[in-house]
Order: sequence, then C-alpha cells, then structure tokens
Amino acid sequence: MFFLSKLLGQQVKDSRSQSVGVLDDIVVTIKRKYPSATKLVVKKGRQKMLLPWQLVRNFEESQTMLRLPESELKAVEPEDGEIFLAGDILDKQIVDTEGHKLIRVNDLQLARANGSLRVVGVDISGGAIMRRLGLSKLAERLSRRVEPHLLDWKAVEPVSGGEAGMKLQVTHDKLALLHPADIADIANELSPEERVAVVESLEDEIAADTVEEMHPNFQAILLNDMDERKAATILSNMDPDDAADLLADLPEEKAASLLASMRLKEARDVKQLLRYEEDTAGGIMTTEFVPLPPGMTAGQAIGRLRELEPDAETIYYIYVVDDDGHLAGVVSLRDLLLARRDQRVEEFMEHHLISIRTDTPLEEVAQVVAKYNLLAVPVTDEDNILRGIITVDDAIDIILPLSWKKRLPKIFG
Amino acid sequence: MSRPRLSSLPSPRLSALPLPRIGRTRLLLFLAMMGPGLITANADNDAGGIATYSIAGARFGYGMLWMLLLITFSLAVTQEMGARMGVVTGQGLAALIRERFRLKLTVFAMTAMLIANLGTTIAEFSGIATSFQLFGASKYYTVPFIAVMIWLLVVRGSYKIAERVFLVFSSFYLAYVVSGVLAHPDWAQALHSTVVPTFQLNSAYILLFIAVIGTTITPWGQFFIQAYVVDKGISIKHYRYTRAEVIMGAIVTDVVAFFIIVACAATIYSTGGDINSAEDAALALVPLAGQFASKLFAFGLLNASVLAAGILPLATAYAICEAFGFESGVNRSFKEAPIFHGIFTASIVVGALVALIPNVPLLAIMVLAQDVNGILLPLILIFVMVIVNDRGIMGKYANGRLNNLIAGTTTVALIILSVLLVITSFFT
Repeated sequence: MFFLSKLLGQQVKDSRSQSVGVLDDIVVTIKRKYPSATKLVVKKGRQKMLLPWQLVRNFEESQTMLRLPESELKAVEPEDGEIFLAGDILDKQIVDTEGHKLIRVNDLQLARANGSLRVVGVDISGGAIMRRLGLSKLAERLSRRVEPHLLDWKAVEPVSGGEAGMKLQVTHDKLALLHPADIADIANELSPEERVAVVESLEDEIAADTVEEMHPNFQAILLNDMDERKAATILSNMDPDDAADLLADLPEEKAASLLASMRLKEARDVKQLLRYEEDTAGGIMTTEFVPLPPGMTAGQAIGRLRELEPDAETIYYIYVVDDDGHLAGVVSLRDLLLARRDQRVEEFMEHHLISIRTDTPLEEVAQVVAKYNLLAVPVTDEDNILRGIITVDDAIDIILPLSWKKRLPKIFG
Repeated sequence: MSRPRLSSLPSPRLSALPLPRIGRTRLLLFLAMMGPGLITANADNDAGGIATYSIAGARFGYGMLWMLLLITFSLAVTQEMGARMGVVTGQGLAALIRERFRLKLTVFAMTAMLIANLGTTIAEFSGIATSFQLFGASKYYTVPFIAVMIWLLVVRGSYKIAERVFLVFSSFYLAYVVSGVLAHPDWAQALHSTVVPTFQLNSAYILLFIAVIGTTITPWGQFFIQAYVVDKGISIKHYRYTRAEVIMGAIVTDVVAFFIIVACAATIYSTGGDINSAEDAALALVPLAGQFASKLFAFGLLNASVLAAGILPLATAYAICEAFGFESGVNRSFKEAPIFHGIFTASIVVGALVALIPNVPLLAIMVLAQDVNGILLPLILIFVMVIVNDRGIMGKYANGRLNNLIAGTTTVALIILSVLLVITSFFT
C-alpha cells in the first residue's frame, strides 16, 4: 500500500541509477473499476515530462527506477479517459456515493496489482492532512489515533473541477444509480455549470425527479442555463404542479419557448395550472388524478386502473365525474375492492364529499386536509368542474414548509 | 418509473401566454439576487468600523476622507472578484485556495484568516461590552449572556430572522448622517479633503490608516461574500444583478463611513477634543440626540457588534472545514462535526473572554483588530488575485486589467504601509 502524498516528490532514477528528476504526478486510466497507472510525470527543475508506465522497472515508496537510460527516454501525451491523480483528484472534491455527499480528497491510497499500480481508496481523514504536513508524530503524541478514513474507490465518483470535470463528465454512472433526492443534494453543492452537466448526463425520468428535489433557488437557474430541448423534456417528465412552479420562476420569453417545446399533453396540463395564483389551491394542485364515469362498474374501474398504472399517491381516492366534468362523488380504493364486480360506482360512491375551490387560500387547504384526515382533496372551479387534486404530502408542505427551509442560505444555518 | 397522464377531462382551449403566474419574474429574480453585497456592506460597518472611523474623524478631522474615495473602488473591486469567483466556480474561497495551492499554502492562508477573524470577533465582543457599559450594565454578566445567546441563536438556526432584524436596525447609521448635517460641518473643507490626499509619516497616523482600510476591506469579507453568492446559486447569466448590488454595497459602506468621519470631525475634532473612551465617541451624536447621544451610540454599537459576532465565528468554521474537508453545518451535531462546532464555539469563547479582561482598553482593541485585518489582508488578496487570474479556473471570466490594477494597488499599498508602520514605530 502506498499513499500518493508520500510518493510525490520522490526520486525517479534511470537504468544507470542517475536521477532523472522527481515524481510529480501519476496518470491513470479511469476506464477501469480501480484506475491503474498508465503514465508518470517526472519533474526536473521547471521541466515536466510525461513517460509511459511501462518504463518503470522497480517501484518503491522511496524511489522509482526506470528501464532505460535518461538519453533514451521519450515524452508522450495524455490520452482520452486519462486523468492526473495529483492534478485532477488530490485536494479536489469528489462524490461519496455511499454517504451521498461531496468530500474532499486529502490523500489517495494506491496498491500494486499485476505489475501495475492502482488507486484503491480515498483518504478523507484529518490524519491524512497531518501526514502531508509531516506532523504525524506530533499528532500521534497529542491524540494517539491518527487513522486514515478510507473510502473504497468503488464508492466514489469524481465530478468537480474545471477541465478534469469535463474529462470526467462521461462517467457519471455511479451517480446515476443514487436516489434522485441524493443526486439533488449533491448537485446543490456543485457550481451552476457542473450542475447542468450532471443533470444533462442523467436519463430523462431521473433528471426530472432530480430537478424536483433540488434547491428551489437553483431549479429555474438550471433550466434556464440548460440545453432547451433537454429542459423541455425534463419539464414534460416532471409533475405538472412542480413544472408550473418552475416555469413561473423563469423569464417570460424563456417560459413561453419551453412550453412550446414541451410534449403537447404535458404543456396543456402545465398551462392550465399556470392560470392559478401560486398561493391558492389551484397553484399547488396536480392534474394527475383518476376520473371515472358514474356508470362504470367496479370491475371495469379496476380494469381501468390497471391500464393506467397511476402513481401510488393518486390511487387511494378515485373521483367520479360526469360527462361535463362535474365532480359527482368519490370512491376509495377500499370501496372499489370490496364492491361486487358488477356494482356501478354511482351506487356505492360517497356523494357528500369534501372539496375545495381553485381560489381557496393555502392555509385553508391545509386545515381541510387535517380536519377531515384526507389523503387527497379534490379541487373544483366555480362550476364544480374537477380541475385537480391536492395530495396530503403537498398539504403537509404548507404547514411544514420544508422548501422554505431549504431556501435559507447555508451560511446562516 | 413511468408517469402516465391520467386526467382525460375536456379542458377549455387555452390561448398562449400571458398566464397570470408568468411575467412578473424579472423583479423577483432581482430580489432573489439581492443580499450578498448589501449584507456584507452592513456587516462591514461593525464595532471596529464605528470605532475606527470615529477616531479617524476625531483625531484627524476631514484629513482621512480622501482615503474613503479610493477604498470604495478597492472594496467594490475586491468584493466583485469574490462574488465572480463564487458564481463561476460554485465554490467558496477556502475550497479554491485548497484546489489551486494545495495543502501547505492552504494551511498558511487559513491561519492568516483565522487570526484576522479571531481579532475581529474579539473586537465585536469588545463592542458588546462597551455598549453595555454605556447603558450602565456591567460587562461581566452581559457579555457572557450575549455570547450564550449568539451561540444558541446560530445553533438553533433562526438566523434568517435575526439577519432581517439587524438589517432594519442598521438604519441606525442614518443617525450619523443626520447628526453630521446638524453639526454644520465645513462642507467645503470636507469635500476638498475628500479629493485632495494628505499624509503624515508617523506610526500613530499609519496605524489608523491601515485600520481604516482593514475595517472596510477584510479577509473575512472576501470569504463571506463568496460563500453567500455560492449559497444563492447565482449563475453567470444573472451575474450582472449581483455585480450591480455588490458595487452598490461598497458605496453604501463608504457613505456611512464618510458620515461617521464627518460627524466626528465636526463635533469632536473642531472643538479640540479627542476620543479615549466610548463616552467620547458618543459625542458625535450629540447634535442629533443631545443627552441621549451615548444611549444612541450604545444601541448602534450593540446592534452592529452582535450581528458580526455571530457571523464571524460561523464563517471561520465554515471556511476551515471547507478547506480541509471536515464535516460542517450547524444542523450537524457536535459529534458529527466536532471541528466545525469546536472552531465556532472556541471563537465565541475567546472573543468574550478577551472582552472580559478587567480594565482592558476596549476601544483600542476594536481599532487594533482592524490593524490585524489590514496587515493580513494582502496575504489573502494575493491568493485571490492568483485564482481570479487563472484561466484554468475562471475561463473567460478571469480578471481584466482594471481590476488587477486596482486590487494590485490595494495589495501593494497595504504591504508598503505595514512596512512603513514597522519603520516609523522604531523612530518615534
């Protein structure tokens, strides 16, 4: 096992044991699970020379021996998929995909494997800082435990940092496996450009979920800076109410052109929601609900649900709506399962249902949901036409404004 | 995961825009960008600021006003650089120093920042102690009480409200504007002094000179504005709003400073007085507040000190954890983020303890801390200058020539002043 910090600055000698310079950096290919060394950077005075790793005859912590005499050494260029360990990774931030956060690389752990040198771990400990400052002994005397805090390379993913970030963009596969809420947390910590790069690299559905989970301040900025077609696809894949909130935060022309590029159906849903003021029931409702005609039988209704595969939160209450869209009643999933197959929904639906109007203020919405213990409440317009529903989780957000909390600058807690 | 669209209701045909919720966002966007410049500006005029400007006006009359004009440019440029670095990289200054300069130089930079910030925190607690003494309350129980309150306020995280309250209270500075006018200063003389530089080659003058710069342009201000901008998530496309606001903030800071100096010059210097205590400093507010001058002064000083006494330890802890990769955040427990909480708590404790030393010259400490800031500032500015000129980091948003000229001149001037200070203190 080697620590990168110990290797840097050590002597590199040629086949005649003459000093060629000091080890300045190690180039690795990131195409493998554990990146393996492909080149080494040797520094002599102010000159830096890139040499292929094949030239290494003997590799020790204290020095590196090369196979050829200095006069026969030929410099090479870095290739695609290669990064500099000291230049691109050491001291930079990378993603800990198990802890779901950005961490700073204090040192890298390398190991010999099949004649090559591989990166196996990342040291994020304070002990690594002491080691690099040459203070290990002092620290040990003070606290007696300067242990490395090592993360397996398999569990990390480099994302940030200027040019290296560009080189690493293609390999966001570990990041893409995380829960969108975790990706969003990490994206919140990145620069605006890196954020765009990460979200654009994600699959449409995951990208949409990630944007929904992101810091509200960053969402509009992100979509504004993104490739417009990708942005429109993401909006189309978002919940219509979230998409509407986001569009309302964008400049007018941008919102209009994004709406125009969205899928027709989704654009229509979103436009409908945009007609309502943000602090009313209409502003937070979703248009994703299951309408059933009163004449349908329980068996047909269940078949319809199977066909639509609606999201979990929209399925507990199913709203009965007449031909003109008027809200007539509600059946619960329980009612539907317990009813006889051939029973028509109007026979067992609840007629006296609690509903609110699109212009109802938010506090009242929360009160209604809390008072009647509802999982969702239907929202109608002045003609009693069903326009959307508000689910209990959105109602909770009104009382417990998490999104508001997220808006607080971090420096103020 | 598929998201089928479920509603199949007939919906009325919708014309294109305008829709009610779209179209009023330009203002909202601007308001969202507000903050970094003005808040940093207000926090800049803290206990040390009030003390330093008061003494500058009382001892040298209008003589130091010309500096403010130059400092405004320096402040605007250095703060703008910090904001731009935050926008382009999405990282705090401490993180950028670590990535650009590696570990050893980072330790050096962070040590400089830590000393400067600790000095400033001590100044804030000295301000708190002074203000309570003016109210007739002993510092021995008020300072520990406020220290605990600040600690709780920050850890409990209701900082946003506190910040708003203090911003409103910051209108206290208007008192200096009114008082300055009521004292009938010699406007012609004041304006003349603002544009025509004068200089004295003695250590007392140079010490104050450095303090005036060091209280306005500070190491912590560089870290703070960048962190704030990063937190706001402002992108380069909207950056012009932030820049406008940063420049506005610099102007506000120095207009306030101008009136504090003018008020003190017109009321204390012109009558041949000097400032040796907080009571003396409060005299500048007599034309406005009469016998209540010392109460008004105490109130303003308390407000200015408390906000900064919370921000500074917090900013210090964030920057150090950011640079070294330690867990940070007030929402993490002491066990999860021991170094973060340790630095934060220790800063408050040290600040309060120094202010509690019996018979310690509180006013002198407030000014001295600004000197520490002024002397350490060039170190931080050099790091900033290298990073902001690095095209590998800043791309096409790297510094232009004018920015480099102004920031470079500030750095060099401070270094020369520090050297002059050492030399003159041997000869006087």
